[in-house]
Amino acid sequence: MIHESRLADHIRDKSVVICCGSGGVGKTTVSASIALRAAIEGRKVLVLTIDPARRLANALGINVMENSIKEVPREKFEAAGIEFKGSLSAMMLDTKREWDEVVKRYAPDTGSRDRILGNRLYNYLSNHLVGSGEFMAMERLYYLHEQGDYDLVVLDTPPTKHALDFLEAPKKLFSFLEDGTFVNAFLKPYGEGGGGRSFGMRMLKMGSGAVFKVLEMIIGGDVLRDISEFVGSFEGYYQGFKGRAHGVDALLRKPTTSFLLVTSPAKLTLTETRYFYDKLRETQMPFGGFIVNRVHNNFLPQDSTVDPVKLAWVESKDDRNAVLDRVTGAKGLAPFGAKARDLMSDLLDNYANLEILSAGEQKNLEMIRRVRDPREFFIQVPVFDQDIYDAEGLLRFNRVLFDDIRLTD
Amino acid sequence: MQAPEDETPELVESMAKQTYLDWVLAHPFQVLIGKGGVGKSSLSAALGLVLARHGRKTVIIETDVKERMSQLFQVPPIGYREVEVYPNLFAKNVDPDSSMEEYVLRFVRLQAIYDTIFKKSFLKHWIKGMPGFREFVVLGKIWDMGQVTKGQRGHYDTIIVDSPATGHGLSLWALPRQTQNAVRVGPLARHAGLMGDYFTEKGRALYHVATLAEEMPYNETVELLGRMKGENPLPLGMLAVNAVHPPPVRPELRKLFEEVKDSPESVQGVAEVVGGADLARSVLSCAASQQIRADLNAHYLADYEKLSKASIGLPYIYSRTYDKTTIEFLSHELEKKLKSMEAPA
Repeated sequence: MIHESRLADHIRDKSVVICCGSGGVGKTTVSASIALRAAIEGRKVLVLTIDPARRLANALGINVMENSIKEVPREKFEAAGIEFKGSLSAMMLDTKREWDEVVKRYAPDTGSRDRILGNRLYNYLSNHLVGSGEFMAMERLYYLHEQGDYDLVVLDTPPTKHALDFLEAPKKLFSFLEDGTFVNAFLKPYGEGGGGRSFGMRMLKMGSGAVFKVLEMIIGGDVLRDISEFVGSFEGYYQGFKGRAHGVDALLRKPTTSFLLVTSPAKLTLTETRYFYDKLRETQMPFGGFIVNRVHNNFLPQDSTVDPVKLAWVESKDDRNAVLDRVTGAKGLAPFGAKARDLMSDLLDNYANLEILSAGEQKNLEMIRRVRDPREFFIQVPVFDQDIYDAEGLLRFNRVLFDDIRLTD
Repeated sequence: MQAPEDETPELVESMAKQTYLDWVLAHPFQVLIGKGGVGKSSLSAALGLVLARHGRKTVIIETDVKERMSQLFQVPPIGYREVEVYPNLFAKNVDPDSSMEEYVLRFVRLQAIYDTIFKKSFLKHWIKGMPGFREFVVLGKIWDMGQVTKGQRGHYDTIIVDSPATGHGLSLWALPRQTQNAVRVGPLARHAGLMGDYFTEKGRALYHVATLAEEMPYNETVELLGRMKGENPLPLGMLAVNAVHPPPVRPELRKLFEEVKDSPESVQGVAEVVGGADLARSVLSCAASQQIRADLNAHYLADYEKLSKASIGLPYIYSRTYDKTTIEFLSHELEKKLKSMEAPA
């Protein structure tokens, strides 16, 4: 059964949802869950991920090595009684293949295309370039948006530090492309027109000899030559990259786009979440809210009036011993004799441990609670007994994320 | 070489079997790698404490803008300086900008020239955005620190690097070899070659893998171990399985726990003890779900033990604040385990 939920409401009129956060907080699970919910509600959805956990990829039916869009098989979800009114597709970006596709897609002519695809530096860079995944994710996001095949695209970004690159990449790319000096300096300095002139000579002519002298010292002349050839072969692409970078920036700022921050209640993770939140505000990106994953909730019923934090025995071992003295008087435990006291002792220790942990987490969460805008949602998802790596697990997670069942159910 | 005081005399030591800890202590360059969120930073800090306590002057290196060591050791932000966070244990944040400045200044020697080119000229964007260059200079700085010989200023017996998460972590350590292949000649290629040798040499370098006892981290670890044996092999150290949940009750009481949980009279008994039915249910369901987690962790821990003889389970730490005392506790747990295992043949 589907109840109303604030998160579901928020997602309903969005066409791009971007899940960001530190490593290991469950971004992929949250992304897949959001996509699933929208598909159940009847929308045509694509979840785009860069580095999914393998089993989850399998559960979604994505072949890891392929850089193509796959429709997620419905059978497993339908077997669990869930009907998709819309459709759910998934894609895992393979950075190298995506680069190749971008090079082919926007090729000004076959010559440039082949020159790039055969370039040694290109092959090295497209394979190993740190941050290249983010750049390609944006190229893909923009391409998908332009094609307009999906009602909603959910993007699962890599961990925080790189998610920041993701925001800054269009700007970085700009300052570098907009700087005519750069392109002029590098385009074909050794090429057909350059004749036999040395790099140094050419740069001297341009008045930046010293700069290149230094670069030559650090990197080496031959390498600079390779780089210059490489940069030159991209000549016909620059305008396109520049135009799309503008387009991506505009797309990210649309009111139909929403950034979500996924976090855990651990202090170190929250510090990073806070940092990213500030960054999103600073860059004025449309922000939806926080999803705090793996929260250790107390196990009391929702309507219970007991406040575990105020229980003396949770805090103090001495008080726990006093509680244990009641074991001998408890009729229901009498059959177990002396062992009952040991058992109760372990049970109380275990409960105290988790309550202390839980209280600590709630205190950590104040870091976010006190700065957030009340219009931004703040959803706590409890830690599950088992991790989530299949359709069934995803559905269980989904019900909690969208508050379809009470947390203490 | 003089033996540190806390070690047994040489004669006795040669008779006793070498422990895994002895073997770890003998490696001057150690790296923690693994998926994000498994506790690499905490383990780096705990390992650092173990090494420092055993007389090794140790430095923990982070390479991220968001430093964690200052938070874990409760000291003010560390930055590019080397700060003693514990007796004999230092921390340093090797950020790309500072490393780049230091690296380039070796060639140009004049701050004014550096500033002109790298801070003011049109090249600054390009250099900052140049793929892999920032990472390269960070590695360069780490390598550089490893070149300082004993007795010289800035020497460390052990360097520990808290590596970025899996995907990026591995590509970081593969960068020198790849750079070498891509550029082939010139000063960059030469440096890359030297770095590649330093970071991968057996007996010097040791890569500890951090992970969790759960399905997805397990699968990723299998893949990571496979890739570590790949074209540029990295010498493997311990497989640290972090945050293993202990069972809620001691094993001999497990059956009794199941009985109590399932009998209404006993649950009533628990309610009398803790003072209320709600609380009794809560205490019992809390233990039940802890049992599931503990079983799950034990299952994967056993699988890890099949993957590596050097698998080490480290306990989940229940603490209100994750700080210095937590790291100390973790370091003692780690030390116990390292001592209990034999050194690899």
